[in-house]
Amino acid sequence: MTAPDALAYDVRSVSVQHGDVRALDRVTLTVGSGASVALVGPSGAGKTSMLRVLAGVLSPTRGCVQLFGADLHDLRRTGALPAMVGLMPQRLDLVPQLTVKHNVQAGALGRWGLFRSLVALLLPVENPLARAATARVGIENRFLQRVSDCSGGEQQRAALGRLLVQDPRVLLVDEPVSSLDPARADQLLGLLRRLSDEDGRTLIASLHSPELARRHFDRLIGLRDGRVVFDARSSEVTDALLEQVYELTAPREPVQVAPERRGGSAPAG
Amino acid sequence: MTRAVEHRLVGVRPRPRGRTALSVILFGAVALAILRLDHPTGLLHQGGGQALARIARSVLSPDLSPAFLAIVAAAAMLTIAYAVTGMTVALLIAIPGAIIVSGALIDDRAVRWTVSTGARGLFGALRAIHELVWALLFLTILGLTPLAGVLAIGIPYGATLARVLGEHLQNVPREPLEALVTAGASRWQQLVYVRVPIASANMFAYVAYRFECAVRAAAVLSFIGLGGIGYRLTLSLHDLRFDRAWTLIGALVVTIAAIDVASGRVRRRLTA
Repeated sequence: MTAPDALAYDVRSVSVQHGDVRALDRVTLTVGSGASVALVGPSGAGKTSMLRVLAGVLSPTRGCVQLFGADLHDLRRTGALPAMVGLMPQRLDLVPQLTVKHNVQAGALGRWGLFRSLVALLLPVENPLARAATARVGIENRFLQRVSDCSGGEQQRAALGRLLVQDPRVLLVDEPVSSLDPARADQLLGLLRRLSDEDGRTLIASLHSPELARRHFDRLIGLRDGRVVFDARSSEVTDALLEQVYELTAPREPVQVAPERRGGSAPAG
Repeated sequence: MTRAVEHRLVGVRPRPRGRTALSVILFGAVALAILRLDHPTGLLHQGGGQALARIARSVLSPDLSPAFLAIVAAAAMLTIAYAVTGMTVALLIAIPGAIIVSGALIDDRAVRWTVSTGARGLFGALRAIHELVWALLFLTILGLTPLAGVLAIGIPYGATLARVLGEHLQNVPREPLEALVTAGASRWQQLVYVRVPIASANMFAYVAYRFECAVRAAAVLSFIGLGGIGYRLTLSLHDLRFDRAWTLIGALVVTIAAIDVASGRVRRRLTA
């Protein structure tokens, strides 16, 4: 639908101020269509704020964001945004009292009228779209279960299924694996990346773990105190760069490149 | 850190001196007031002691004759019918009322606040008037008709339900709502896909509790002559038939307990 080198995001000098706290400080970056980008950095670095700005949920105090060449603010006003961006927040945002099916099909509400939404909620009608999305995220056996009866990993997948039904061009995912054990975290990120690539979507996720980010994403953006500290292909992200983002003291000049200390972290291909 | 600051931080105030002495004085004052108040006639009126003894004795021998049980059953059914129709009127008011109070369908923040606060005030005023007062009011307007009883329950209960259910719809976690907003859902869709399912268990519990209250209210309202358990109870007490009074009270207790059990079952199914 878009030329491979087209721009998904063009973020220009965006700042977000929450009272005295500056969550984002003059962030400028671009993201190509179909790219896979991980935002890494410690807690409070501004990853969530960044994703919320990109999703159009949070309006920047300063600066502007363009999405596929159009102003994000205008897209939100005209109601075009749901077809373009979908956000999967960190905190559970499913409705636990409803079934997986109902939660997944809620992704289509932007395209449905009220009558159709009500029929789909109240009558046991089959929904091929929701079923297909649920199958793709690997929990079709849970289709008619209540979300409250699902495990944390299954709920995560249900939220992803809802995003697939929404069918946006950009997927924004905030800390998708923070509550999963390492094996399941790896599996879910693999799934996320595969689904995104299969449909040619742009994927931007925030992650605590730089190892997982390097393994599953092509590009890493390091955030600290609301600023971009580095922005590099994942094969070029060294431990020294990561240390600048994660170290507990204030950032200093780049340290000497340390020998590979983490044996298991093979760079992504 | 000084003691005062410390206490403020942990939310505990230092225990004032002489508190026990104050308690003793207050307790003595209350006891004295009660004794003085009842001085002329005593706690019970003349013959009250005897009546009490009779009432207590007849607990053990309630009137369970088939003829009277048939009357009790009919009275209980009538009381439940008043409660059901009253609650129906109440829900007809409360469902749109709760949506208005919650402000869930209004985009503009200022308009939402105005409408929500205005509706809250209106319902607050309606429910401030007790159902017995509504009953007397409608009795004057409509005469001794069933409609007077139904409206007397329906209006104040509808107002109370609208306020409380509206708050239930309002106090829903932000995250699921936001998720649907980013998916492009309208406010109506957010209402039916997020607010109602999340609030449903609490809303149902409150409606069931109010239904119990409505049964009690219907029993009381029937004292004014509308028929039902309360009416039968006045007749029995006038005749000094305490054995029958106990049967009627038992019927009321059984009715309320049955509603409680049934609503508990449904509530457990709704609770996630």
